[in-house]
Amino acid sequence: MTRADVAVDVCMLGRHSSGKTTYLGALWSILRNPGSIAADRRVALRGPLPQRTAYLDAAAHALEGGESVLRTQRDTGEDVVLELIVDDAPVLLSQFDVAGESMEHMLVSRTAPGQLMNRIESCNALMLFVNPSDIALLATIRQANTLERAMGGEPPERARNVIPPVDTSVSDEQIWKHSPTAVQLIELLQVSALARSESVPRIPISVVISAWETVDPDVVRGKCSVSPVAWVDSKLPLLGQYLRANTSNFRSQILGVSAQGGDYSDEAVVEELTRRQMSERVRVSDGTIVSRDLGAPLTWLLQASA
Amino acid sequence: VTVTGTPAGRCVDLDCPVGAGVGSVCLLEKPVMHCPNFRPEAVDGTASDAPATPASSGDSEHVPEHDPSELSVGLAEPAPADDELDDSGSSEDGEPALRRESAVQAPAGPRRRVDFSEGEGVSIGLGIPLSPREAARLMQAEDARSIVLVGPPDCGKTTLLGAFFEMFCEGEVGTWRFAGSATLNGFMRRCWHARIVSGEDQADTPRTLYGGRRPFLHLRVQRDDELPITLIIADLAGDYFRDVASGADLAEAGPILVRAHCVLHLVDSGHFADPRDRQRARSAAVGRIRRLCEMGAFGEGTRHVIGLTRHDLCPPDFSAELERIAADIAQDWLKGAPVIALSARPSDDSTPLGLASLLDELTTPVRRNSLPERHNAALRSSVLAVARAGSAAYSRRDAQDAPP
Repeated sequence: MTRADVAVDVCMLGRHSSGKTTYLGALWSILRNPGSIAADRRVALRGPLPQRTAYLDAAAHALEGGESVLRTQRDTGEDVVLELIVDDAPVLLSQFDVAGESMEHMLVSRTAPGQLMNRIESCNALMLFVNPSDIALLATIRQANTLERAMGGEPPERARNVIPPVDTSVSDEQIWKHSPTAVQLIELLQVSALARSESVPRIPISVVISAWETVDPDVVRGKCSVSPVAWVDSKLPLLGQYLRANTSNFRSQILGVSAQGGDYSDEAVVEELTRRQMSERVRVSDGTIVSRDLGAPLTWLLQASA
Repeated sequence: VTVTGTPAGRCVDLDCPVGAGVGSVCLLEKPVMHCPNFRPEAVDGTASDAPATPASSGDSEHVPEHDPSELSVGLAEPAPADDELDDSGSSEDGEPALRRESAVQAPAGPRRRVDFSEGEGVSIGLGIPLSPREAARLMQAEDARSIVLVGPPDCGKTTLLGAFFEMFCEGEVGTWRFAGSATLNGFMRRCWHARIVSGEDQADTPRTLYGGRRPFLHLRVQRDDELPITLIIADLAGDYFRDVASGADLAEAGPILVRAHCVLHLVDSGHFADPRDRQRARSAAVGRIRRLCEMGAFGEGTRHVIGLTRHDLCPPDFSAELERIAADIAQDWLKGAPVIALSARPSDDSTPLGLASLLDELTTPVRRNSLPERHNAALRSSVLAVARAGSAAYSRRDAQDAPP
């Protein structure tokens, strides 16, 4: 299979610690282990093991032993190319795992690595990772004052013109650095749209809320209590609006993914999880159904980009 | 030496903005490796002798007693190649990387690594407000509607734009959704002083710079299942309009105003709070709008909207009267433009007022406006020149140079 035959060429986007490498590690653990067969798995490795897989092996090694995956080093990425079978169809999965720090640095410095932009330009599907425990909000003084009043306090007296009439003290870098998570994610998508050629007018985007068990603890018992879509609307409303408002430009899907299957800092959880294969630990929720199909985002991207 | 748990609590950073000094307990109760200020090289050799304890115990509190570069390496686990490790030894889920002893060696073979430090970077744009040329390109590309905010200094033009963005960050504005912006930095700058991160006690907005070369903000909004609408909003300094009632020249604001699809006239309701100021405030508003009309500042077919800003400062018993005054001005000079009461940042910190209605009005379709006769003549001669030159390249360049 050559790159010209690529059915889905995915680029993974996200801030640091958003779960990109964990997802890849868990997926690799499932794919390479012929014994880890789950009933609802629809993605499998096609042919022999690919070359130069130490990166994936290391990530899978950590997860299988109940340890968290190390973060990808800044200014580096891993070119992951896997030949897969997705729903009985051969697929060349080409994922570009990029350090989240590189992406954040890109947003602040407003300069992107050429290789990264080339890959974004050539991909035909995106995965956007979100860490639910690392959400920066706009946090306005109005909200803080409202909260203070609700708690019986009294916010400071309003004093006008406390700042210089024409303020140039805040740099653009500072503004980007302190931008809310939703703004950063939207800017990543906008930069991607800017970079891509117009050959893929409606690029599919799979939004993966990682560590979903921290949002919806019931997911580990196979139940849905929280909808990933509703969660995005509640915690990242700007991103939710952006995804819904641009259906003419791209299709999107939001999934909650528990790739680790639990909190690896909890010894009891680790003890219990390490007895199971990765395919039995992972949980994927679309808000109505919980599956163990970690390839669900890929399956959807494949269908959506067809 | 290995670290089997989280070294928590003691500050190792001289420059920590919230720390009480090196060796003190972190005021944020952060484990050291969670601290954004943690620098391994800052750890001195006089570390505590406290034993490392597992992170889950939650009470460990010490400076790492070993080479910080080994933070994530287990005893029985051979060190992976350097390039596999993150500098901070943190794991992908943001937790410190816990490594227990294992009989199974970690893989450390060949990889398909890509080094981004090689090769040149690509500019992704600054996300700051647009120059006239950039705005013109976007106008063409997205069939955008241009909106100009007109009002004297401190009447709330910039605050209004910042408030729009703040509201979108909280959810939909009425039935309108945020659909993107090429000037996110510009919007965030406009609400910077309304954010806690600014360190201010009260939300405020700095004055817009007179003569600024990048006055245009780009905003895409969408509702129901309609296609997104692109707005190019000119946030011009109030100084351009301060003396216009007396016949002052609009300067750079003139060409921008005449090409606007929609003009939002902002009248500060706060100026009507004191009964003794009301006649002056009314005269100033009428004078400005009348002069702009009479000097041909607007294109034919331009849609007009009057916004009564800081409406929360208007006495309740005068509110209806103020709206009637504005409606009269609209009737007399703006062919019955709609009047909307606005409060972008109410003094009682309640939800902003009128933004959804304003968006409804600003996005109401208008027929493509034609320019006043003198501008049409200039445009015609320009088109003729292009036709005579017979150069497509010239045509493109000319279009790029024109303000929207």
